[in-house]
Amino acid sequence: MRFASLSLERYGHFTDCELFFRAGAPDLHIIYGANEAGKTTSMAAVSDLLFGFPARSPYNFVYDYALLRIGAVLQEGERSLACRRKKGMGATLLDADDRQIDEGALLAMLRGQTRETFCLAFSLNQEGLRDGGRAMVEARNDLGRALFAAGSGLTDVSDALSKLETEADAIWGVRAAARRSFTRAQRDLETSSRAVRDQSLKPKTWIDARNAVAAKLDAFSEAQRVRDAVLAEVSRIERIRRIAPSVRLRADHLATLQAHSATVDILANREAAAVQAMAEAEAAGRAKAAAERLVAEAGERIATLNSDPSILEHAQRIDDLFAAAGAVAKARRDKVRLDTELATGAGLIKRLREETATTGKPPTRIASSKLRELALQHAETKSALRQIEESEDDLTQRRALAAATDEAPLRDLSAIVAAVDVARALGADADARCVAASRKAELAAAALEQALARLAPWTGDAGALAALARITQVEIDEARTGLADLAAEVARETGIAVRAREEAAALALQIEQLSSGMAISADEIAAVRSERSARWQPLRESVLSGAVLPSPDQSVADFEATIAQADERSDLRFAAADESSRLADMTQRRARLLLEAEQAEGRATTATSRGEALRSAWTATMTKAGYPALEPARFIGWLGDRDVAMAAARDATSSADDARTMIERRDTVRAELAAGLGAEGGIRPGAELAPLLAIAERIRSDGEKAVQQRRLTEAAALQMEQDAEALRRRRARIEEVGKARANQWGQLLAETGISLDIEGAIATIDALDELRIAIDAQAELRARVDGMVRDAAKHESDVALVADALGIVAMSDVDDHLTLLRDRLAAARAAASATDALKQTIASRSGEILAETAKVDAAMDTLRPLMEETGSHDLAELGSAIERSKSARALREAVAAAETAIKAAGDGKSLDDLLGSLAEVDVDGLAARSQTLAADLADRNEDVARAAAAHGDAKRVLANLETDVESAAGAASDAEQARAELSILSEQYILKRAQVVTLRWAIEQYRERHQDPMLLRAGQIFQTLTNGRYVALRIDNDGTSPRLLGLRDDGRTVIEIGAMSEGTTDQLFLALRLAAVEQSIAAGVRLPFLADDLFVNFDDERAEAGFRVLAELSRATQVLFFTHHLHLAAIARSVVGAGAHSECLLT
Amino acid sequence: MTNFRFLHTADIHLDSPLHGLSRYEGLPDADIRGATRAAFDNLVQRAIDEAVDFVVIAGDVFDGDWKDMGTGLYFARAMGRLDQAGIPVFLLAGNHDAASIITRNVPWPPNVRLFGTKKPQTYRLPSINVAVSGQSFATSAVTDNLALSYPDPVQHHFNIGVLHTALAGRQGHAAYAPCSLDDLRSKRYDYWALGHVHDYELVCEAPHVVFPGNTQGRTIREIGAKGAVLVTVEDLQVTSVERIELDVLRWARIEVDCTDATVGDVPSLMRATLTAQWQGNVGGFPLVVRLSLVGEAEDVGAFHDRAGSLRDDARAVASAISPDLFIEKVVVQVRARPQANDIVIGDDLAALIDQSASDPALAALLAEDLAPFLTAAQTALGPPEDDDLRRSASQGYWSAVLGTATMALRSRLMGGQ
Repeated sequence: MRFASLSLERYGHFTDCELFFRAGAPDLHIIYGANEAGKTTSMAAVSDLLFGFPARSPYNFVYDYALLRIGAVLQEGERSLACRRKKGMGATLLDADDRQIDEGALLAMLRGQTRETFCLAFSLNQEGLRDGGRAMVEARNDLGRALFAAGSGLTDVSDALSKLETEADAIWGVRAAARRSFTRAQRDLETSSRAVRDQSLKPKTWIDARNAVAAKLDAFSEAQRVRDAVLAEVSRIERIRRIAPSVRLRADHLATLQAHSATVDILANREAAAVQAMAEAEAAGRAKAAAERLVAEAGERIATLNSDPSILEHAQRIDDLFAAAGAVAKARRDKVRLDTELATGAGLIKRLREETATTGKPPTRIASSKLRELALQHAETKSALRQIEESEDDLTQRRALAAATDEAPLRDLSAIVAAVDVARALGADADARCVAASRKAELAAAALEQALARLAPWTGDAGALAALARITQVEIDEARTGLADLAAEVARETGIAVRAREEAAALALQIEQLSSGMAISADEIAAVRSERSARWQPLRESVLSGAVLPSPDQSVADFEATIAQADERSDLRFAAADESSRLADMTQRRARLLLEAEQAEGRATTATSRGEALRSAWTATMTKAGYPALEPARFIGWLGDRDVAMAAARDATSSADDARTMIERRDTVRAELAAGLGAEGGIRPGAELAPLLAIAERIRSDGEKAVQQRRLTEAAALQMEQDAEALRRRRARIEEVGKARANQWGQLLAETGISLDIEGAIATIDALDELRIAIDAQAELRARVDGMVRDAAKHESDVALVADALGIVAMSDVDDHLTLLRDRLAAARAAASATDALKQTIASRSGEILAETAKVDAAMDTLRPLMEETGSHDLAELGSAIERSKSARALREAVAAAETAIKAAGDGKSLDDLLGSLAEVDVDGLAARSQTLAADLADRNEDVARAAAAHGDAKRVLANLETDVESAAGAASDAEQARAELSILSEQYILKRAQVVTLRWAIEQYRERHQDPMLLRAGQIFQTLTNGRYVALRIDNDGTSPRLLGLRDDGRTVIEIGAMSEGTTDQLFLALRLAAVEQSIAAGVRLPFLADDLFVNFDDERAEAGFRVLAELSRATQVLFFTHHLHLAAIARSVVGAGAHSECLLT
Repeated sequence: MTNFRFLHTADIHLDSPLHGLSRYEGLPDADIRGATRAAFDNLVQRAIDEAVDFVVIAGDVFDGDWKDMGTGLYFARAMGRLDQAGIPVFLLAGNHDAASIITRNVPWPPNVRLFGTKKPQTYRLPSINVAVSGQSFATSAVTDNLALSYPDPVQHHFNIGVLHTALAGRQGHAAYAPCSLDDLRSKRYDYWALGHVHDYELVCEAPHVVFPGNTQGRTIREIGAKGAVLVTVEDLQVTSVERIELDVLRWARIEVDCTDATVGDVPSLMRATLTAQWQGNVGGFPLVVRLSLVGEAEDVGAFHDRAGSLRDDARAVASAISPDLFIEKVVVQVRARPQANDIVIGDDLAALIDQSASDPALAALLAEDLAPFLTAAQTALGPPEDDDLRRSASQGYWSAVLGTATMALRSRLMGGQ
């Protein structure tokens, strides 16, 4: 169908606007209109014309609904339809005269399209293009779903591919990365290889080092040789300088030695002996003179000393007297003090005698001690008797008190005590426990009621409940499982049926859609072929059997019509083979689904019936056993409730028994208590036990206290009698002892002769003891004083006797006398001692004189031959001769020492050579020469040190090279290990990449084989629209949902839609849309394609491509391109040719 | 009567690393690094302990491309130990030594007598009437028959010929200094001390022609015990040729029969096989093992697909059996048992995968895909082994690569890994 013209008679702002579209290919027409010119209105007019006005049209702002008119001349093949459309509820298609015409012709041209499908597929503006395009690429509509259908089902394979790629990538990639095992091994290899290179000891390095050592050694040797030459010269000069002073000194000594030609040479040992003998002779002479002088002095001193022989004869007696004089003087001083003490003692004795009234001798210490003991015993006896008296008084008072105590009769408590014990055994809280037990019994009864109520609809008491028959858990489980399985089966089968029917319904819709197009179902073909066969059969019989046909012409015509119809159907089926096959497939699938649904429903029904039967059997079992008719699952709950109720029943019974028993026991005890108390308890209201128990306990307590008091009183009386008896026995025993003691006392007094009362005798006995001690002390003191007086008198007489013997005049004081004797004795002793010492000295020195004289003579005998030899007459001359000889010898020794020094400093050379080396040598110039050589030697030494250091360095270098020899081999081993790993990884990588490539290739092959033709066509259109920038479209099924991708001209890069530019995205959507339109056209739906400025985002080149595509489309169906861009019209002209299309202007 | 003993060794390849053994937890790095040195030290110590009269080294002391002078100095010091023990050493340069820069610069101790390269040279030990003749390699590839020009035997001496040769040819060894056994016999020497072939071989006993093998196995191609030979001569007659083991680490190939097994069964099969192998390893010698999975199984693809984890399993199993048991590699050689093609993946994805191995377009895609990797990896990798996918890839046998990949892929997709 195409528009030959479009007339906007009264529509929107249009009035009688006529657009004419030239016939012929390409059927592409540009309708230009500026903004507000009415492009959108024109496109809406097309839809309204073809499908009628909508109930509410926005295009009545100029003309009322009733006046709105659109007209067109439509063409399809040879047929032409001129029609107009008004707004209305029905019969709105008019002819030129506003008469209604049949819409059948128009509907036939529309091929079943509706306004919606037309607007979606054939009438596109920018917004529609994008919305529809997105719906397709997001698979939100049928076209989109069809696009992506080919890649489905390979998700697992894609995952496997992805995993393989990941595994391969983990081994190697174009870009090296540490996460890749190949890279790591490769780096290990590089590192190790580098280590091999770096750590290898290269032969050249080693040879160079070895040669360097040799060269440095040569240099070192040469430097040493030069240094040694300089050193030798230095040594020579230094040697000359060293020996020169000694040579000079030797010469001087030799010259001096010339003067000693006449000197007698005395051998050193003889000289030493002579010197020693001379010294000895002189020393002996000096000693002899000194001794003679000392002898003379001693004789003189002896003559001057005064000796006193008479006093020396009495020396011992004088010394003894002098020794005793100290003791005599001390006794004299002590006697004064002792005299005082004698007087004091006499006073004391006198006083004590007066106190004790004793004139005679006081008792001895033993008698005194016995008296004291008896007096003390007497005092103790008196004290004991006093205590006994006090006790007897106390006893008398206690007896009087006991006699005054009232003795009341005691009560019998045995009955009360027994009742109280029983009540106590019941417990202090017996009343409370009775109340609690009663309360618990009531609560248990209420709980039982509730539990029984929960068992509804079952009714009955606990006994009836316990009597119910038992249904085992196995039976319940079997019933429950059976019912649940059947219910699940019913649900599953119903679900299957519902899904199958839904899918069948969906397929029916698709079938209907396909059927409305060009697709021809197999049934349809079969039907027309059957019809054709039916038409042919009479003719066949007529031709073969000569049967007569009722209406040959009609039969032939009918047969031809059926042939034509069958051929047409077949042709159509052939033309739309794909759709037909899909239709057939869908029909088969729908039938299969319906069958599945039916079968599932049948199974569901069967399962339902089995469930009902099982449920009935279960109900019968329950009813028979006396249970309510419950489902097994609910019955399990009911059984739980039953168990609870049974437990409540047991609890109620138990609680009631406990309460009853408790109360009975309490009442019994209370009655016993009341009986025990009798009238005393009184009539107590209520049944509580506690009040009665309190009274009984008080009475019991009082009675027990009275009995206790009675026992105490009796015990006290008995004790008092025992105490009185004991007192009597004790008094008698004491009094008997007192009598014996009095006898003993009197006897003792008679023995000592004193008179003393035993009462208070202790003090007197103390005084008598004191008196006895004072008398003894006084006697001892008196004896000492008498001794002192005797010693003093004897001392004085002894001194006087000695003095008389020496003729010394008597002196008044014996001490002065004795002092004089002692001084004279001391002087005599000193003179005698000095004389003895001097005599010993004279004797000793006289011996020395003789000895020294002998020494002098001996020395002179020794020296005499030497004196004769040297012509000396005395020792002085001999000394001079010796001195001369010593000088000559010293000179000879100095010469020898100088020669020794010369040889010592002469570096081992002979003396003659050394002395000769000084010949013709300017010794004074040697210092300068030595300095020069020293500087030179220092330089040479430095040279040697440098050479030595260089040699040492070279040796170290070589040694280092030779010691570190293992690392390169180790690194080489590491490198080989890395290389081996690389080899393994290489195998793994090749295998995995081969798997990847193979799997990807297979997937692509698979997808190509199953690719939707529409996608292929859309890819071609897209290639054209993008001027080859994109070459195809691909479906990526690797993600969670398939994605449409553009394949770039490199054949490898794929671009997601989101990454495309806005213009390219529009071109992609247009390509998809045009491919769909082409598919519709191929299916026989050949309606005009209306495009509203679809190229606004296209650049000129792509707009030109767009027109090429539209031009190609327009060879199959009419294309009306609305635009407000003049340049697009120009581009269209350049593409399709100026005269090959129409250009309309909207005003 | 003159009696003496000497050690005959060759192919020490000092400091040459072990090949093909990837590093992993538990591997004794120090032992692996120093394996050739340790074996060489054993040789020297054995010579001293046995107080041999001399040592003959029939070539290839060093690796040809090894340039670390430290190795030469180490060797020289070891020779110094022999010198101190009064043991002369007759050293012949083999093809590797000729290529080695170390050989030319080592400071040989005085006890080392190095054979010249221009013509055969004879050294004598008059005290024991021994004459040792030999000619070193002048270049790394001597293809002349050197034996022909060896001198006549010295009369009344025990004559030893030292030669680095593969004789008429030995598998895996270049045919350097080729000669026949008759050539050697014709010289009427008493003992031919050969080198170059890394396996022990007593070629002939009249006269004795002996390859002692190398002193330490370095790759899976050099399996079994390695060492030297101790030769005893009494009255100019060889009375015994005793093979002595010097290696410190031994290589072994072990097959694990996986017939009708699934890949999940493999660890227990490996455990059983390795345990049996280890129990047979008297003395608990450190062992490096290549496990070959053989037999027929249904899901061969799973073996290939899980080769990496199988290697980990093997390592874990080995270390559980003994800390001296190590895994070099796990090679999948399991053959596919014919079976019905019952894969259902998508509609015809399985068929597509099955067809992929022979699809040239896919082969081209794979070649393009792997080209960057093969280029990048080329420099780092050594030559591939015969069964390696890398060999197939580098030679363009894509169908072989795709065949293995297809099997692994099928297994992965079926197994739901």
